[in-house]
Amino acid sequence: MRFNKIFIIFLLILACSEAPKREFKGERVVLGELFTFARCPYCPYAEVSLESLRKEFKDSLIVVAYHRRLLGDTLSPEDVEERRSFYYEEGGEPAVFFNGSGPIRSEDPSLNYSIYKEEILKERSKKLKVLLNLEESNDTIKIILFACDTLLSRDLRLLGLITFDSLFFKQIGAKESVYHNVYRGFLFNQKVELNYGDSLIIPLYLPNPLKKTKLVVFLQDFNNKEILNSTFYHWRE
Amino acid sequence: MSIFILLLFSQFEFYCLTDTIVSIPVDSFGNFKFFLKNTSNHREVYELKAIPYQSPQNWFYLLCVKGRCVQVPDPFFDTLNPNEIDTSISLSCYPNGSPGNGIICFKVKVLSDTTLRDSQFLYISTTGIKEFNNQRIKSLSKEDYYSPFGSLLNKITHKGIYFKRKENRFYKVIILK
Repeated sequence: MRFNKIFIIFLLILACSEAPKREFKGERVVLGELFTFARCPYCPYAEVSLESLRKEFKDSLIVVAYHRRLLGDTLSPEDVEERRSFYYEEGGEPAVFFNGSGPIRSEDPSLNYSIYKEEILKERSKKLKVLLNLEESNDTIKIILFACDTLLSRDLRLLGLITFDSLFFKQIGAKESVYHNVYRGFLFNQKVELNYGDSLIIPLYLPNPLKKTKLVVFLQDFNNKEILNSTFYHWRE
Repeated sequence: MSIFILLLFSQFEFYCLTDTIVSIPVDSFGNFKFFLKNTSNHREVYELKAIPYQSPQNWFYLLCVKGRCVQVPDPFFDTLNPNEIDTSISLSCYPNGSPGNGIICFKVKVLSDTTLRDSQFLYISTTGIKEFNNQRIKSLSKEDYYSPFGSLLNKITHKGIYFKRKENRFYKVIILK
């Protein structure tokens, strides 16, 4: 009789507990967002540091350079200011965000590399919560999402943007004339509902994309600005 | 009877390291550098703000401090420890090909006591003419031409540089042959 009671209590505990989650191996891809403008004298140092880190981390780091429309810079569209005000109001450029955390600014440009690297490693060490992949077939790119962790009380948005490489833009007083990873516009900003174990496939029709263009897709929580994962597709020459 | 004497000590030292009057080519840019020292015995936050008093419409100004830049008139807040010196403060002016004169007032104030403030006037003037449109024509139109010295010419007989007036603008004409 006593054994039966213990067995029933044990069964109740088992029934109430959550099913064990499967651990997904892998690290988060880090999205580095740089706010810059052509005539900013300290911005090329930040760009060079990010480019070195991008070569070091390979596909684990994606860089997007938002060119603010300051002092005659017209490389990015006007909606860049919306993104800027989403992150910060004042403080100046260069301002860098890694997976939504920042702004990271350094007083000494020679410290950029080490500061950025530390932040990237910190972001990469965070738990992987969403798997994000892109699959290309003909003129369509499939965005595949899979939630591998609980995502409760979150305002999740799937964002897709286009960046362009090797853009020539010459201005008097600007240190550089060729710019990389330049933000050229958002393709979509879509609210998504994801919970543990959910998967989502979103087809994206992109006929005849320009060469040197990169499609960057990322999932961001608009409550705390955290970017849960990101990926990219590069149309090379 | 007791007398109270209130002594106001300056909490900072501020001056321009470069010449405050600059003359720059119209397709170039001007740069001013500043010195700021916290002479108080505690940590202070200084508000740095540049205000253009007179400026052609197309001109841009940029304020940079400690590796960061803001477009004028956005303020910048600089934190300095006692006796710390900041020489990274710079103000750049970009005429963008528009000739004219600019006057900027660069202001510094201590946030803990806004009565402690200082300012510096900066003057920029441009030299030269920006050539922005080059056209090659085969024959001259029948218009009035001016010599580089300003005298009106009815007829051009020699190769050289002349000016013609059109819609309140002077165009440079180079006669090649």
